[in-house]
Amino acid sequence: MNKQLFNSSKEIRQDKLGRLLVYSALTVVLVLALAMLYFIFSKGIATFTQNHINFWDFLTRSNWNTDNLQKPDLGAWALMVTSAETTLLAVLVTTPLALVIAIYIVVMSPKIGGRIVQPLTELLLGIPSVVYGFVGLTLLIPFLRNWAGGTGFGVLAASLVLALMILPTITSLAVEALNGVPQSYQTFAYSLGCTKWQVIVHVLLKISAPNLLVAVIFGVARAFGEALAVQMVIGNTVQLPLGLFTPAATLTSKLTTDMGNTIDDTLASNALWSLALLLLVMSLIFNLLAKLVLRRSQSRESISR
Amino acid sequence: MNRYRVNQIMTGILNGVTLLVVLFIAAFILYLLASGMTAINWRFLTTSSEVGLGIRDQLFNSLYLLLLTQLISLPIALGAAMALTLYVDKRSKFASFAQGLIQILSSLPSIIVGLFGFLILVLKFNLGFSIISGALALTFFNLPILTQSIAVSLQGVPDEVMQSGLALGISKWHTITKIILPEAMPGIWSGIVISAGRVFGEAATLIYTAGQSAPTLDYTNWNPLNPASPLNIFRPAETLAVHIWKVNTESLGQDAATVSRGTIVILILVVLLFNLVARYFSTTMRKKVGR
Amino acid sequence: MDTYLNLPEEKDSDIVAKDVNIYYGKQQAIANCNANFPRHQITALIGPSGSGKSTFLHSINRMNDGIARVEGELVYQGQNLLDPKVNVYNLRHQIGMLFQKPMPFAKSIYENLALPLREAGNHNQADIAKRIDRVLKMVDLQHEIGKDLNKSALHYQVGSNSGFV
Repeated sequence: MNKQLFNSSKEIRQDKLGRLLVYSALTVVLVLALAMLYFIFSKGIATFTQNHINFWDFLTRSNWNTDNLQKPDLGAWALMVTSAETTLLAVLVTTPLALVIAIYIVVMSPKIGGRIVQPLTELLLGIPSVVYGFVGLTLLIPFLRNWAGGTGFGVLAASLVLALMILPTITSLAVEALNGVPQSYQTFAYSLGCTKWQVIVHVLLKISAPNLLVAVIFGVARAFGEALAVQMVIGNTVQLPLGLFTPAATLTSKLTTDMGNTIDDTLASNALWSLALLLLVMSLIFNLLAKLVLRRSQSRESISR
Repeated sequence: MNRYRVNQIMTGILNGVTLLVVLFIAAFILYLLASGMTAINWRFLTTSSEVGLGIRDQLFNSLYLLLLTQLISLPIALGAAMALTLYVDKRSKFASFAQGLIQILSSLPSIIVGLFGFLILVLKFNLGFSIISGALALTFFNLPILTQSIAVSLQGVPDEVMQSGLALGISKWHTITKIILPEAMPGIWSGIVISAGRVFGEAATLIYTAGQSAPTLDYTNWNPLNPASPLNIFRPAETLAVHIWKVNTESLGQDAATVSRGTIVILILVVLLFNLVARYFSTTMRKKVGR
Repeated sequence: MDTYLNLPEEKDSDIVAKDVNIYYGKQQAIANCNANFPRHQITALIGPSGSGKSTFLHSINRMNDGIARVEGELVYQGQNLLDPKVNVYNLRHQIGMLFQKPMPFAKSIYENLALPLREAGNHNQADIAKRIDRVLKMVDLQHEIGKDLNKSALHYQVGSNSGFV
């Protein structure tokens, strides 16, 4: 009989310790995530449950007036529109450029791309958002003021600052997406006599399209959630952005400007938490979208194999 | 127009646009460096913002917060990443739940993380605008990113390595800590350095947690409980990035611009340094130990 | 596939498989395997690829834990080694396993050989050095890699892991 098999050993003790350590760490992260979702949600709905603001009014009205407690006129519509508009403009400007750079890095010249272009975009990725805000404030706004008149502050300034900010985000994700296409596909297409442009359009872009879309979605998410850089150049006036040069305010810029001036558990503060909740919901939607796109492309891939 | 002509034109456009964008980025960075260099001198680096418009205290605060944040988040992120990649059954519901949650956390706008920190740390736990509030809020911001990057590095080690270790009768924990972890280390270091860059430049998370004021510090006082001591974790601490934001929103005129330009140069140099270090880890070191 | 390997008597065998069934999820990999593995002999399992040889061997070392479901009994020196109470590490110290694909650790050759010894409780540096030297001579590699012991093991593809504990 081999009794030794049932004896405990130092390995068992080591494993117990290891399991304890890693699962506690994972628990900390998960509890943190759940706590964050819970607190922002519960704070965010207080405007409607405690202060009895009509939820529909909140979504559709454009004024932000929390001073009159009897008849508060409170709505996030203008903020949401501005957020959407600045983000959309930024993404429209940046996506084509980011795609071109990514294609250059992956296909046109991997050597120069890897040595110069990619490190340069990575450096851009590392530059703090306040720096973009500052450049917007000191270079872009005087330029816009001279060019179009007015103050220069507004939707266009915010969009351009955001466009530069998300350029490296989309580029680096797009490079990853294009690199995900097996090299053999390219070789195969070339052997059939395709030109470089045909390979780019019909092989690379086509196969990596879902992942490129995800890259754009993450760019959108970053632009939508950026606070300080936008707050520095948009002018911070709650109103519907009728023109590109109208000073306006986004969800994030409103939060940044006002959170320090409110007292916890008042309507003014709760209303801001509702904005945070809107941001959170949008961030969840972007995540969900990215996940859906990836899942669809994966299921299609598995069918075609 | 035949396809060869199309090819010529389109690849020409691709090259041209890339060149333009690259020139633009290079000009942007050079402009930032060149316009800020004149603002940098010994006085700028060694005086406090109140006395000599310097950034001595902000620089120290940034580094101190970075250090504390990484000290808190690294062990947790390492453990969580190990659990996700080496312990949890990857096909299980729990695994996809945990991964989804971490993904959500990592893509939250940083202002939300800052507000959560404000609510929980500053108000509920009554820590006030302080280094500890800031470091914990930055940890909330940093944890999911770091966890994900460490998980990717750990996944890069072949499954067979674990099998080999176990088959030799080495415990799972020691197989991980003594064999898998060292092999994944270059990738992990590079992830740590990249996350450090993000933490160093982060401002939205900090304006309502570490605060927007930098009390003048007394660098001869190393008693962590004294309010003027640099080490005190319960004092408010404005960082470099927050400083740029604050001086520009409060608009101190010409001084604001000069101070910002100088600060930006420091920020960019630090980020550049971090990028180079990360690159060193991910290429040179990986070549040394990688498969 | 029913497998019967009944060469020696059970009493002369160190490892006996009794009605072993192995499943990956719902898919069955091994069905009703009965086999005796005689003491002091070399037994070869042969079969086409995918017939479950590795799966079976993994089970003897309990390397399938958490991956496949193993039913039946694998008796090792009178104990069912599939018993959940078995300390798999003690088992693996007694039954070694070499893999098809060599998988050296990302360490020096010397460390690859020394680490399992240290993990098994041997902390005598001189003894470890002596054992490594002996093993290298045993497999006649002392000339080829004897002077390169401090170089990374990943660049040498010389046989399998140090499974000699």
